[in-house]
Amino acid sequence: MTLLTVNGISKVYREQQKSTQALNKASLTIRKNEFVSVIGPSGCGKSTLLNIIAGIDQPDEGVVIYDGQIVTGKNGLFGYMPQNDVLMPWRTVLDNVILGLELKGVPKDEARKKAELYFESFGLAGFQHKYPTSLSGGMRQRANFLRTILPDHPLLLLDEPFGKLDAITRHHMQRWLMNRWEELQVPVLLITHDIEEALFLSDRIYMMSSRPGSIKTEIDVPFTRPRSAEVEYSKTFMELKRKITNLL
Amino acid sequence: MKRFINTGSLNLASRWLNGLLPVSVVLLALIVWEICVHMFQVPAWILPAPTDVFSTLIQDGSLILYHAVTTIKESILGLLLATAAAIILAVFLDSSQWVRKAFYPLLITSQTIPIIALAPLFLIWFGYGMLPKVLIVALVCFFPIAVNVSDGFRETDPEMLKLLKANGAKGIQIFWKVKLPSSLPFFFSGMRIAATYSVMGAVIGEWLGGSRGLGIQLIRAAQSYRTDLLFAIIVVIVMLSLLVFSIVELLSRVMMPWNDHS
Repeated sequence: MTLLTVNGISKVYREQQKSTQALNKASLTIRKNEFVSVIGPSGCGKSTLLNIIAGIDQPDEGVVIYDGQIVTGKNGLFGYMPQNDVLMPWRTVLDNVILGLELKGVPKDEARKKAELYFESFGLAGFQHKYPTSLSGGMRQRANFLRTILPDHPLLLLDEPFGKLDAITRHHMQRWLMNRWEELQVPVLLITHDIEEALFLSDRIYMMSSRPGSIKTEIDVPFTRPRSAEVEYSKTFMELKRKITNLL
Repeated sequence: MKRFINTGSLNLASRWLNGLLPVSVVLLALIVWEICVHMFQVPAWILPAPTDVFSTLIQDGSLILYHAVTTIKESILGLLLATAAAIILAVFLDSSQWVRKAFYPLLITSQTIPIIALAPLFLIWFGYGMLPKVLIVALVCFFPIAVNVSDGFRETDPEMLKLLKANGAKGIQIFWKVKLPSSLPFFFSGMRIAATYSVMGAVIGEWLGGSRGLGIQLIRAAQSYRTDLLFAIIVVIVMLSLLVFSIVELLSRVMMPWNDHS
């Protein structure tokens, strides 16, 4: 069952003299309970595509259809996880993660109570009332993810969430995200430039061309769920990795 | 653990040293001053010895205090007025980029008008009471706060604004939840500058006329060659300025607890 359809999105950024076409008729779909990745070279407009789905940016052409309704340019519908964690330094970790709930109109006490339940499994226990400066890079991204999932959005949009972490932390975070996702059962659209990350986490991968970005190929990832870290050493994984590398 | 305690006590010692150094420099300068005055027999109306200034400070203490109360009232009222006006203007400048483009250069240009030239005008308009002095303080303090808060609003992290927008936040929510708190450090750096100006602004205002205040007392002391009193008043002005500054500093610690980890 199709949950979200993105159809023929084009976007041109106009500045004084030159204009850059970021996207050229990009289309994709996300089905219920599916983990979908968009992978592409840097500067291919994949973040722009995500911003358009999130309703932060307006497309020049094309539509975003969610649940049978046109929602192009409408914000507040989906969970959006920015690449930089942008935790507010003046809020405690607990008050940072309830931001989405707060903006939805949930009373603060209620939001805090709900958030507290997740601190243990998000590896943030004991940091509820600390300021974000006391968190490590990985913890900050986990707090960022917690803030994204708390409002129970029907779809999560993740913009290169682990792009800025060191390789070891990134690896831990990918496995951790996998476990959380298998518990949450919520569809995810992940933007990434990390082939292994996309293969390990996704059910389907869309590959984008370089600017102006459009969807070039779609790849089905055959691994069953729940997945273990072992799949990364399987033959199929290697073959798919080679295929994607050659296509990029 | 032991190392931790050691660095802790080292920090404490170095903090003491940091405080002690400027104090000892001042003490040394005062001693040299005292010795020079006695050695070269400088007349008291030209340069009184620090000990003379100190005894005047004690003897005329009640008189100085009487005038100091007025000055500090004017300083704080003026600073509060400046803060309110500056925040309102900064919010207004932030309302659209066209408003900012139209008014920001005017704000900068307005600062080239010398306060000392405006002050007599204020006396003509508002008389010799406290009001013109409060207005002069406000005028001096207004600019650093307005410019800093206005810049603070503009420097709001665009990623944070994007996050709020993606979550469906309205303009007013963006202002209260992001712009205002993220401009606080800017606000306080403006306030620190304004605080050091505030007492000086009040003294300049009082110079021009009136019946109470350290500025008036300063003129009187100079006219009657009471140089010792003049120095005593200067000492009090410095102390008042430091007082206003430390109030601002305390407020910034209370209002920005997340900044207080150093």
